[in-house]
Amino acid sequence: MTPPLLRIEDLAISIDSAHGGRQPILTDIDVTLHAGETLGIVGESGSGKSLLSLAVLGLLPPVAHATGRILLEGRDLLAMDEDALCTVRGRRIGMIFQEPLTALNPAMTVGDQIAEGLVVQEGLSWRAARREAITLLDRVRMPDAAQLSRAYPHALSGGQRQRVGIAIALAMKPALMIADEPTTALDVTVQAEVLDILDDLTRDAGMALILVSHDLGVIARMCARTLVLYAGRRMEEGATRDVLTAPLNPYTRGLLRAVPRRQAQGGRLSTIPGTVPSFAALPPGCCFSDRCPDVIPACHAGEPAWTRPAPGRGVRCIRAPEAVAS
Amino acid sequence: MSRPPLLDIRKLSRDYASGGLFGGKQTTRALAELSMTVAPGTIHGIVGESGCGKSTLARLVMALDRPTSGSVHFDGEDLFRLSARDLKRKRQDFQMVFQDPFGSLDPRQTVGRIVAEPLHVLEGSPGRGERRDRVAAMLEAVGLAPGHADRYPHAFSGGQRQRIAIARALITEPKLVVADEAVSALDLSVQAQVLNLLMDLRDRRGVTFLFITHNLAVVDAVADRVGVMYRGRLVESGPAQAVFARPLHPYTRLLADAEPDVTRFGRPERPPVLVAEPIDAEVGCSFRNRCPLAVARCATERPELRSLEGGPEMRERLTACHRAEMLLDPNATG
Repeated sequence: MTPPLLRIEDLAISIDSAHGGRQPILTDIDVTLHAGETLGIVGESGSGKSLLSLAVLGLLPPVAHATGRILLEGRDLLAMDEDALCTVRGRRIGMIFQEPLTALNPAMTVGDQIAEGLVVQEGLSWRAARREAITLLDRVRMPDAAQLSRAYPHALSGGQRQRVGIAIALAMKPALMIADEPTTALDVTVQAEVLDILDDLTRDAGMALILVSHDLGVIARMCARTLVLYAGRRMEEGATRDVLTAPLNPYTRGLLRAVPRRQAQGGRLSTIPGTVPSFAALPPGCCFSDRCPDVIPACHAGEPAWTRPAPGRGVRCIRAPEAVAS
Repeated sequence: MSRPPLLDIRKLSRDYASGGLFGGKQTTRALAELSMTVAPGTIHGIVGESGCGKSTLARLVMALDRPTSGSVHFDGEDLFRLSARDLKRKRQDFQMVFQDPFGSLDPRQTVGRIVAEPLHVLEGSPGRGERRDRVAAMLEAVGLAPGHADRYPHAFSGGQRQRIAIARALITEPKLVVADEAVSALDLSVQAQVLNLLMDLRDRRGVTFLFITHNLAVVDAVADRVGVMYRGRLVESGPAQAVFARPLHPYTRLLADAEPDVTRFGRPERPPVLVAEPIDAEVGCSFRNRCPLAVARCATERPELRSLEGGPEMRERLTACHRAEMLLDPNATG
């Protein structure tokens, strides 16, 4: 058994609130990821999924306070100083952002933006780094890589910019790539191509991938395992096919039913009533109890524990044993 | 069936000038001789990728822009031949809902004022008491509480804000609402609520929607009819269910195949999607460089919208493809 690439243990993050005191956001987060594995993190706005990816990158804002451990290749990121983190970031962990235009520097050619990390971190000459940048652009299937490396971001289409974003993250040959809604802003055909590129990288280069998305179709396409977050808590985890075809948590079931699909004449889409609560106004007991169709009085009594009904499968719901049995 | 269309768009074109600071001016044809009709009391979907001209179409239907040529007849009147005064009066009959529920609501106004604002353009705009009543009724119609009128937008979630935007669009009781990516920014659970609201408004109030999106699944879920756009042209149209069940244009099929689906796990077994650079489509079919079915004729002769032989199933369906018959044969693959 090789040690895992990433091991998140008992992570909790709280944020200083405006009225003094601290507001807990993420609680009881536990994640294990080996080299070459793909993990999808599903959650709606306000689920804490973006805060989780920032924590793994060591990019938490000063108002955020983390407890627990985030071990990357055995070293605790939460215990590192900024200098050590800087080496880990970029060299071991790459990040792809949702909006490729705001993530790029408008005043620098895309080739130089890719080369910059190689010069700073690897000590390459600019000439060698620029040559490497063209190779990387080729790898993300950019047509005419040599010419486009001299272009500025504004001259590129959305799909091309996102491919530049991937090339920048790839330059350091990271062991772990975190992609936060990487294709949400893209057209479906361009999305399909970007997903294919990411897929190739995990297969051929053994890169591990954490893909954060609210699109269950993208998760089904890309990720072997899936973690469902709601209100900063793990609701369900398992092999993606199991989670999406035999969900154990009513929240996962609700999400799946709400996926738009054709209805019988006069039919209506299934919805989850209400809206995602703010962290300051969670219902007592289970955080989903105020919207859950299967709620019983015991759900309000206390936060359900994380249980493991089967190997590789986890769920937070006191009624999960009934779902397992059926 | 024989009711006249609410919206009758004829050979609508819009050119935009670009460049010109250095070098020569160029014109880009955002919309090219697009013709379509929308029946009253239906949800008419328009799908296509960025740059296909769907937002230009929305701006022209809303009379926020003027066409280079062609016309938009709304409720029997040519929008671009109306006097400024008549057009202003007509505007109460068509309203718009935008994509971003955060950017489209003024943060310094109460929800009540935001929703009531379109009433001010009405001739003989209603008095304060009536305004308040209508706002309260409209907030209830979109699933909010009348008491929400005194609050500010920041107090609401994305889905609630989009309901506020829909309430504002409906306050003048318009016949047509143009929704441009109106649910794209919403979370899954909230998106379904808003889509149901649109279907309720169609069924109970007879509101007509021109529903513009890049998301096929959403159109499939709510639209009665659909038009597929590619590079400024309509390439396929028909009843939404039939179009998605059996596309008659290779581009529609490409979109359907590329869309991720919760029931398809892992990498799909399909040839890599061709994302080619746009080509000059002065002659021939503008999709030919991405098309698995393209033949020599596609480079020389532009395919016009046409119907196919094939009985009742093919009624009301149009495709702009020389080789659409290939898509009818289940054994022919592209």
